[in-house]
Amino acid sequence: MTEILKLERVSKTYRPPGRSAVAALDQIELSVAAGTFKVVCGHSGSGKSTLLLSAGGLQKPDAGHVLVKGTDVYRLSSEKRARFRAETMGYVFQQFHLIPYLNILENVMAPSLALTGDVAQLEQRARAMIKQFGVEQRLDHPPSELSIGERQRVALARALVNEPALLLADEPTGNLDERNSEIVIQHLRDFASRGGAVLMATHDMRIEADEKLLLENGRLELFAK
Amino acid sequence: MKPWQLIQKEICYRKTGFGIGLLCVAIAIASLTGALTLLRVYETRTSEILEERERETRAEMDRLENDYRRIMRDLGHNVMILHEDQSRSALRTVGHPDTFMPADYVYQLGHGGIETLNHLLPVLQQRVTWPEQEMDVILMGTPGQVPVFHLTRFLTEDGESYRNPIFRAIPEGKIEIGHAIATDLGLRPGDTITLMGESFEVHRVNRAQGSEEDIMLWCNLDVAQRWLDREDQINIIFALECICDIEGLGAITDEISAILPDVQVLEFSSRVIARGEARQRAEQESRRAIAAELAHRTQMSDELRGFATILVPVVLAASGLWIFFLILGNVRERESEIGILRAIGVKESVIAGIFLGKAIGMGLVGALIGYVAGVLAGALGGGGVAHGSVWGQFNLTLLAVALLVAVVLCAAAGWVPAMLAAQRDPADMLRGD
Repeated sequence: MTEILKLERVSKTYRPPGRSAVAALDQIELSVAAGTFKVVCGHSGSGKSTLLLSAGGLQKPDAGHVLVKGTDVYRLSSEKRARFRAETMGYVFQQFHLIPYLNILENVMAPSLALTGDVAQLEQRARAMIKQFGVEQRLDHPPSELSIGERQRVALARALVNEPALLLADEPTGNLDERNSEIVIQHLRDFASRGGAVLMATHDMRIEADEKLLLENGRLELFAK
Repeated sequence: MKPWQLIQKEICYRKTGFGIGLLCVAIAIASLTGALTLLRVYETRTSEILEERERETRAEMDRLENDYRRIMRDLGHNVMILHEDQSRSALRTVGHPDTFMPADYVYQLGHGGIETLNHLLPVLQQRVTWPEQEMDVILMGTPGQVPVFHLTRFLTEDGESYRNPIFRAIPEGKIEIGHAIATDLGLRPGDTITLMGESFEVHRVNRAQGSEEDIMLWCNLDVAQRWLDREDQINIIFALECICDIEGLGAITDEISAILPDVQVLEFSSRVIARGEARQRAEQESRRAIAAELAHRTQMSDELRGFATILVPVVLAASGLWIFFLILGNVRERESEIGILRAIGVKESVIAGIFLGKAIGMGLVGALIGYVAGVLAGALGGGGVAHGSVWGQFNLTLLAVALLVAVVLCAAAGWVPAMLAAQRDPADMLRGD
């Protein structure tokens, strides 16, 4: 299987002024192949978000390399890295980060701000995604009028509208009830089954995945397969 | 979706913040355009007032000129031109000039472009005995006033004669008589007299002057030349000197001599000086009034300008600071949005452009509002309404200045927050999760 994400000896240490240093990531080695759904578990503050932000080209590690589809993302300039993110990756966060003044369709189409492709085609895909995630009746509603579960599904649609190779999900079910959590996880599994690579961070160890890893004291260990 | 659409939707969503920003820009631009308009209206009004005063002065000077014309007519001419061989003592003893000049001389003067005279009256004068009455009189023959032809303001439309001559030609068959003659003989206008065997109608009786003029008989020059056997001759050219600068007295002799070398000029300087001084005084008073008005309005204008020079930069700076904090607040409020935009691959320059674009949009709309408000306030404050010129104060140059200042102000105020937004670490903004 094609390797989509590869982390090589990635380390990141926070050094807050006046306080002792915290090693969030220590020599992390990780790879996610196309068609796989990997989960990184760990308690709050274990470095899961740092791992996903570093993997997504949003936070440069102190050491090591992050390769996405064979490209070392931190060797790219800021502008090229932004473009690379837009074309290759999708993100889902616990807080959804929907833009409050855009309606659902516009939120899902937000990646068009970063792309130069056919907007009409993107809109077509956005509408299809919205339908797929079951929020088509809320197309012209602002996020504030949606339930928590619906908001996360919209955020997921936004992450996938670009048809990325890699989906990074940081506690996507952290704010959801059991039913909505199951829906979101199912969508992630579906994405992986269609050939996408998923790396999800969560504190919920019950979630089933192709591979579950435990992040503790900056180290990553295989937890279940 | 384009960045400008995002800006537009965000503005609609956060109307209050944008409204406060607009108000801020509008106040800054209104203070600028209001001050400029007020100054311009004030200066326009000053020009109007001064022009009005100038017109009044000119009218007053014209009125004085007419007064002087009447006075001088009554006083008599103040310049007398005689042949150069004329003895002045003989003039006194004989009572009239006994040397003669060609009648054409007056026309040479009239066409000579002379600047110091504006009324010419050729006369053939001789003391004679009125045979029918056995009375000594001074016979005055004249064709009437001859124009100084280049002084077209005094001439009729055909340019041939004076509009309002001091001394008109004596109509044919008529005669004008001095006051003493009329009194002695009991004559009144319309009476008929016989002179040298010819009948004349009394055309006018002149007012008492207490001088030789009271025994003068004025007739047409042709008649006098015939009686005195002086065909085409005259012996005096009376003139009215128009020198307004008293220091310039005496220049007339040089000027006349350049045209007529064989004449002499007698100036009755006291009359000239009285006339010139009165006229100068009136003109000086008018000029002083205009200068005082100008000084007062210039002082007011300077005070307004000085006030505006302090107020406008202060308001602009305060507004700039206000806009800076508004946009900075907007950046803080939108951290999550900035983070996700960065995460989905929106470039830093586009994010900076979103905030700068909003600031510039705020500047453009605020400038339009401020421009209209400022111009109206300036025009009303400057009294433009009273003169119906409010709408005339709206002009494209001022609008362009307002737009430029507002855009520069907002771009400068928004620059730092926009750069902060673009350069914020997305990890910091997204790690809240």
